Order: sequence, then structure tokens, then C-alpha cells
Amino acid sequence: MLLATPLFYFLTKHYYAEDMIDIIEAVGQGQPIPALDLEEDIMHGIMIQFGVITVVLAVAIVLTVRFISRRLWKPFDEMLLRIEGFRLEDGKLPALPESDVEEFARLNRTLTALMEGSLASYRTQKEFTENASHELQTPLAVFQSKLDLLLQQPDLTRQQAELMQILYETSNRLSRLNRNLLLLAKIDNRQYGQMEDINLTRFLEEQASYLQSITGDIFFYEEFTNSGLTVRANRTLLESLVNNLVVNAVRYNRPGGEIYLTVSDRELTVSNTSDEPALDARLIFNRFYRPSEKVKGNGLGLAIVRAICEYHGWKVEYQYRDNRHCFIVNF
Amino acid sequence: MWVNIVKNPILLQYIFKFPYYLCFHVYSSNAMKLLIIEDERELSASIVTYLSSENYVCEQAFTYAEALEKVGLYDYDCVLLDLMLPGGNGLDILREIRKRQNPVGVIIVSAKDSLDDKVRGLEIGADDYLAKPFHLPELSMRIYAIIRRREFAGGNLLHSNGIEINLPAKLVSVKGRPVVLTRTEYELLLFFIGNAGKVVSKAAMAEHLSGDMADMLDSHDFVYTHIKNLKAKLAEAGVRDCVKNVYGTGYKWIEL
Repeated sequence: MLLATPLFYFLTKHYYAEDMIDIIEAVGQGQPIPALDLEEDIMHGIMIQFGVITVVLAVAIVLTVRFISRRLWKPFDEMLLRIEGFRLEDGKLPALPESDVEEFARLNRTLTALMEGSLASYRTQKEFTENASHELQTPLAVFQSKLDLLLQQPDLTRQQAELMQILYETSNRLSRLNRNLLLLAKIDNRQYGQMEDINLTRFLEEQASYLQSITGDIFFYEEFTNSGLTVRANRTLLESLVNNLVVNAVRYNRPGGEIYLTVSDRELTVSNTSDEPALDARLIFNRFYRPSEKVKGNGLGLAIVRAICEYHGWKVEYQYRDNRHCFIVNF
Repeated sequence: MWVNIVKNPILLQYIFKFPYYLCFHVYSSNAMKLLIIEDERELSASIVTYLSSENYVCEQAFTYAEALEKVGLYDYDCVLLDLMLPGGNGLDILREIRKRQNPVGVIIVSAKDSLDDKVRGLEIGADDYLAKPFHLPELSMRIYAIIRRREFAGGNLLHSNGIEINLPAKLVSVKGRPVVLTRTEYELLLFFIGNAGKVVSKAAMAEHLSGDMADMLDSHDFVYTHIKNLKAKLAEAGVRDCVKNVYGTGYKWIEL
């Protein structure tokens, strides 16, 4: 309003009081008083004044509100920013900014309590998975050891032996499932801290004979165009990643099919021929997702692949091109 | 003093059992003595049953205190050690064993397949580490390997059915003529001999041969091919009928 005073002065002088000034000037100079049209003049002036005051007030209000609200919401914005950065998996509670506004302080307290609660239950759940898997190992060991003893019976019949073979395979599946769950839980719990720089090509060449031994009649092609690619990784997990991808490529291949293992740029691609149609790229990495009923795996292989990639900050994706299923890990 | 002895049941137990321990030591002078420290009684019983018939004499301990007591009192050739015991951590028992400068072989058997435990166990002085669940033939094979290593200090020859195996050089020969085996067939042969007279399941062999990979394989059928090849190569060298097939579920190495 103060800033607008010269404007008011100018308006008053030229539109509102100009007749009065004319009269005063005329009287001062001894001239005859000019004719007045007071009514029109006043109306004119009031309208202008009203308009100007409205505009000035509006501008002032808008500016004030914006300024005040920005200051007022500043702690709230900051709080939002920190909450946006909150990840349950990191297990870290963000420190919310202090506020002397009662409502914000309450919001702070509630949010902190909420996050603490979810962190605690997440931790308990993770620990539960790991503990449950550990606890299952011993009964599994008892089961397996009794099978081994049963096999020693001298008068075992063919029928009994065949039943035992099924039991052996089932117990193998059970312990495999359990180990995989444990592996996932351990990755979630960040228990693979030891990282080293690994030359990917050399690493794959070390694994190659091992991998080829399980491929059977499937052709195994390797093509390494970037032999200098070094990745920072945990060796155990990298092995598990490659094994899972290759075993998958073998498992869903067709007899006499092909597997391609390629390294280029910063990418590792495992692709295979298959009788299966293209898969749903959004679902296949989910735990226990099974695209068809003739499944042999336990539905955790690709979930482990994804968990390992996320753990190292890599990206894994699935593509279907040239009738081949491709799994691409981007380091 | 007598009050103390009466109050202490473990001590009392040893006093009552003293004649037995005396016998135990005389009787077992040439058999290998094993101590099985495992709190799961059924698993412990399985191990004892499986191993007892080979030239082993097995003692059991079910708690931390019991294990510590036995380790302190007697000498064993090999100790199987579970890490999670009622009353304490198995690694402390291992430390106690090693503090005595005892040359006993120790195999850690743990439900907690964690790399940290494994590394720490081997650092303290365990000879091997086996994660639960395991196959009894695998355990037997590991014990066999450790005892051989300790008895003959490495540079030794293994004989079975006229087959001679040079362990350090990994060479197999029959009557002086070499038999060329693949790595898998060689491993399989050692696994058989380490479990001579026992039926070994295809599942145990699959796991022994492919390690972690067996986890992902869907069937144990690949074992069959390797056994067939091994049998053919041995037969060609003049060793026949030493592997008995138990309806395809297991195989048995027979000392002829």
C-alpha cells in the first residue's frame, strides 16, 4: 500500500482533484472561476480509485500468501523429501526436521512411529524366513539320513527301491527349495558383503567346462566381444547368477537346441531356443511364478537372479527376439 | 569331596562307566575312534548306525558340556561337530580341542550354511565343513579322507580290488597298467571306495559330483552314464563285478 502512494497521489492530482486545483489556481491568479462538473468528476475519480485499490490489494494479497505459505510449508516439504527417500529394504529411519508447529510435530511423531513399526516388522519377517530355513535343515538331514540307512537293508525289493528313488528326489527338491529360500533371505539381509573386481570373461571361461557338463545334447555357444569387462561383485552370488541363468536355459530348451552366452559392452546375455512361446517380462522374475504346468524348477531361479542383480545395482531384463528367450544383465 | 562327586551327575556317570571306558580303550586299539557331537538324537543315531559297521567306534555327545567333557578326557581320531549346541557354541569346543595341540581331525556339520561360520571354523582349525542336510555316504567319504590324510600324511596309495590309486598324482592303475579315467569317473571311484560295502544312493553321488549345481538339476540320471563308463573302463582293465546295482536307486562297491 505504501509503495502504491505515489500512484494515488498522481491519480488524485490528475483525475479526481483536477477541477479543485484548477479553481484554486484560477482564484490565485484572479481569474474567473471555471465551470464545474462535480458529479461526473467525483464518480470518475471514485471508480478509478476503487479499481486501483482493488488491483493493489489483490497483488499484495497474492504476494503475501505465496511468501507466507512457502515459509509455512517449508518443514512439510522437507519432510516429504525425506520420506520419499525412505526405503524399507535399507532399514534406515530418515531423520525428520523439527517443527514448532503443533500439527507438523504431531505428523512427525506419527510418521516416525509408522516407519519404525514397518521397519521392525520387515526385519522380523526377514529374520523369520532365515530362521525357518535354518530350522528346516536339521529335520531334512534326519529324513535324508534315514533314507540312506533304509537303502542299506539287504532284502530291499525293486518296488521299495523305486519308491525310495522318488523319496530321494523329493527330499532333494525340498532341500533345494529350502536352500534357495535361504539364499534369497540372505541377499535380502545383505549378508554378502565381500565384493571383489572380477573379469567377467575369465570368470565365465572358468565356469564353462562346469556349465557344459550339464547341457547334455544342447549346443553351447560362447561369444565374448568385450573381454576387458570387469565387474565389482560378490563371487558366490555371481556364480549363482550365471548358474541359474544357464540352468534355466537348459531346462526350458528343446532337445538338440542351442544356448548362447555373449558378453558385449557392459552386458551379459544368456539366450536359448525353446518350444515355449514368449513369456510375460513383468511376471517371470516373481517368486514362484510358473508360466506353464510342465515345470521342473522350483520357481525361484529367476527371483534369485533378480535379487542378485538388485543387490549389485545391475539391471536384468527379458526379451523375446528371433525365436529366442534372452536374459540380459546390464552391469 | 564325596559330596561333590555325588552332586555332580556327570562325574558320577564317569565313575560308574569307568570300567566301560577301560574296555573301550583296549578294545578299540586298532579301530578308529569317532566322537559325534550332535544334539539331534535321531541324526546322531543315523550317523552311528551308518559308520559303526565300518572300522569305526562311535561315541556320542548331545550337549555342549558333555562334548567338552569327552573331548577333554579321551583321544579321538575324528570329531564331528555341530555348531549350534544346547549350552554353547561348537566353535568353542573346537578352540578347546586345538588348544590341547590335539591332532584330531574335525569336521564341522552345521545347519547354518553361512560363509562366515565356515571361514571362522576353518581358521580355528577345522579340517572340513559339511552343511546340513547331507548324505551319509558324503560324510563317510569325508571322514575317510581325513583319517587317511592323518594316518599316512598324504603321500599314499589306495588299494581296492586290485586297483591301485595314487592319490597325490590322481593316477589309477590295475596290475601296473594305467587306466585313464575322466575327473568325474575318478571322483566316483574314490567315493565308492570311501563307502565300500555300503549302498550309495544315486542322489548322494549326484550331489557329490556336481556340488551346488545338483541343487538345480532335476534328475540324478546323469550319474548312471558316468557309472556305466567307469564300469566299462574297469572291466576292460580286468576288474569286473565290483559295482552292484540296487534297482537303479543305489550302487554298492564290493570288495572282492
